[in-house]
Parts: sequence; structure tokens; C-alpha cells
Amino acid sequence: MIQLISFLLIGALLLVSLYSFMRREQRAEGGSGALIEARQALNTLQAGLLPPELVGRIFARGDLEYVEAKTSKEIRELFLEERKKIALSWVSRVRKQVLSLRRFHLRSARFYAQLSVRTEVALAVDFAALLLECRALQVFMYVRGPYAVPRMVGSTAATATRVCKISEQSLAFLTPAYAGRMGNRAARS
Amino acid sequence: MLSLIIWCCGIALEALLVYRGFRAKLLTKYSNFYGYIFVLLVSDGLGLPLYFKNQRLYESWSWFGGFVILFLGCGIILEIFRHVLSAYAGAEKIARFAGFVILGAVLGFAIVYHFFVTDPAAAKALYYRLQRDFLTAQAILLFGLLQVISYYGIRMGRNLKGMILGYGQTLGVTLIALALRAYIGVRFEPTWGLIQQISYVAALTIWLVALWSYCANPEPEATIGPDGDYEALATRTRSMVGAASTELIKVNRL
Repeated sequence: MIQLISFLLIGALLLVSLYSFMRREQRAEGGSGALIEARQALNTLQAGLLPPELVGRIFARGDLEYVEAKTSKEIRELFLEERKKIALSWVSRVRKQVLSLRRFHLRSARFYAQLSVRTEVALAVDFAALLLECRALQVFMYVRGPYAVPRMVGSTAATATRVCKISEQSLAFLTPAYAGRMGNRAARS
Repeated sequence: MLSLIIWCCGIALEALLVYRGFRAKLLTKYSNFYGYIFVLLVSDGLGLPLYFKNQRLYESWSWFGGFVILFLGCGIILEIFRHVLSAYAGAEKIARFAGFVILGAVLGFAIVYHFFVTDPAAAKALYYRLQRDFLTAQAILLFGLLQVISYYGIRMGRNLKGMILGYGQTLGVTLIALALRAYIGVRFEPTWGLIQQISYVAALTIWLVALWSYCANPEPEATIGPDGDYEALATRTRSMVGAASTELIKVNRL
């Protein structure tokens, strides 16, 4: 029975992945569009995704406290609803940029014969963790509102620490010439 | 009768596929694939008259043909690997080497086995078992390749897409049918045979449409430099992932 299930599963998995392969969106690659997209993602991420003041403002408890103290229950609910929409939109934008960054990395990395499997796996795990954190934030914010952000600090901090540790090892290779070349190419396109 | 009609359709489609391959100058471009189709055409073309003339001789030789075709199917996987990854250095080299080793080993086994096992019943039993295991290995390989293609966003032309779709669906359907056959038993055999035949004709039709003319893979345009830059790329990506993580931590701490 186990044998039957495993063979059925392999066959079904192959057919499902074939179906998704045929439906896969054929995005433009390598051209000016991809470079501009990558450049935009790069800029957004390098600038810290969103200005910290704005992030602080979206999630500031002061506004809620003011509304709770000075207005009626209806106004409070309306405020929370609006703030939830803004918070969800912010997380969704973060997620979109992370996805864009991953796409850019993968489209560049695939050309290298000396591609390191270990590095790629580590990056894949980090990306997955980051995307999962974004999704979890979305779910918690959707269910419990913008101010009920779950205590995910521990796990998020661990991801960030791991990412930073790995990046320290190869920071020396990030030459200014490379950044300049990227900039010139993007400008040309 | 239906089985015989499908058999004849198969031969016609195989012949048309080889003809189109010749006309569109695809034989040298996809040599492994057309090698497989050519062997199928010869096997089916010779098998059909032999089936009517001498059924016993057909029985004993059809298993040998089955083994050879089963192993040559690996050549399609090899072809897909070669063409899909050709623009992506390194990966293609490793895939080709591994594929040839596997192909050589199993082909050697098929030939050696024929000299030692002469009993058709034993050959039949071994064939089913080997077919299931072998197709499972190929299905896993193809599944892995599809994930890599999807993960790295590799684009390909109509020819290769058709090759993957045709062979992939045959692999998937045959595996499911074989598993059911092993579980249900002999009473599933007629259905199993029909499913396999229909799936095979479907694959031939897909291949015929996809390989009617040559359609090159879209030329990938590398946006970055030589191999030395890979680590720089990985580093930059990591630091950006770090930046994103930091932003999330800020939100969590608010």
C-alpha cells in the first residue's frame, strides 16, 4: 500500500508540476525592463524599504491612544480599520520587494559555473524565512489588527543575525567597480 | 481492435515526426530525442508484421525492444538537460556527464540481460519491475529539473517545452498506471495497456506539434560579469536580505 501511494504521489507530483510549468508566466528577462526592475528593488531595499519615520508613524500607538481617549467607539473602529489597511499594504510592499530581489538574484546567479550550492541553499532558506515572516505579519495584522503585532522578534532576529554573519564573509568582494558597472548598464537601458 | 488502430496511429505519427525532423533539420539538433523516436519507429514498424506472422517470436523480441526503448527514454531527459541548461554554464556539464553514466549503465544491463534471460515470463516480470523503478528515477529527475527551471526562471522555446510536456505526461501517466496495475492485478491489465497506448499517442501528437519546425530557446542575456562576480552578487543579495529583515524587526519591536 505504501508503495502504491508513493508511486501514485510521484506520478501525480510530476503531472502537477508539468501543469504549472505550462502555465508559468514567461517574464521578460535580461533586457532593460529586468534591469530597471532590479534597480528599483535595489534602491527600495537599500533605502531601508520605507523611511523609518513612516514605518514608525504607521505603527505608532500614540495615534490609537489619542483616538481612544477623544473619540467615540465608531470612530475608533473606523480608525483601526483604516490603519489595518495601511499596515497590510506596507507588509505587502515589503514582500513584493523581497520577491523582486530574489528574482534578480536568481536570474543573475544562474549564469555562473562557479555557483556555490551551499550559498544558494543558504540564501534560499533566508529568503523563505523572510517571506514567511512577512506572511505571518500579514496574517496576524489581518486577524488581530495593526497593533497586535506578534512576538516574532526572536525568530526574526535569528534570521537577520544569520544573514548578517554570512554576508560578513564575502563583503570584501563587493567592489565599487561592480556597482558602477551596474549603474551604467541600468542608465543605458 | 482499438489497440491495433492506436498502434498503427503511433507508427504513422512516429514516421511523420522523423520526416518533419529531417525536413526541419532537427535530427542533429536533438539527436538523442530523434534516436529514441527512430528506435521506436523501427521497433513498432517491424513488430506489427511480426505480430501477425509469428506471435511467439514477437513475444520474445518485444521485451528486448521494450528494454532498449525504456533505457533510450533516458536520452530524452539528457536532451532536455543539455538544451535547457546549455546557456547556463557548469550545470549543463555536470548534468550531461551524470546522464551518460546512467544511460551507459542501464543500456549495458539491458544488453547483458538479454543473453542470460531467455524465458519470456521472467523477462516480462523483470520488465515491469524495472520499468516502474526506472521511470520513477526519470520522473524524479524531471521533477527536479522542472523545479530548477521554475526557481531560476529559465525560459525555453517551443521545441523543448513540447519535449518536456510530452515525455513528462507519459512518465506521470505510466507511473500511476503501473502502480495501479501492481495493486489491482491482472484484471487491470487491459485498461493499463490502453492507458499507456493513449498516453503514448498523446505524447507523439504533442511532439509533432512542438517539433514541427525549429524554435530556438530565447537567448538569455547575462546582466553581470564573469565568475569572480558571483560572490559579490551573493554578498549584495545577502546584505539586502539583511536590510529587509532589519525593517521587519523594527516593526515587531514597535
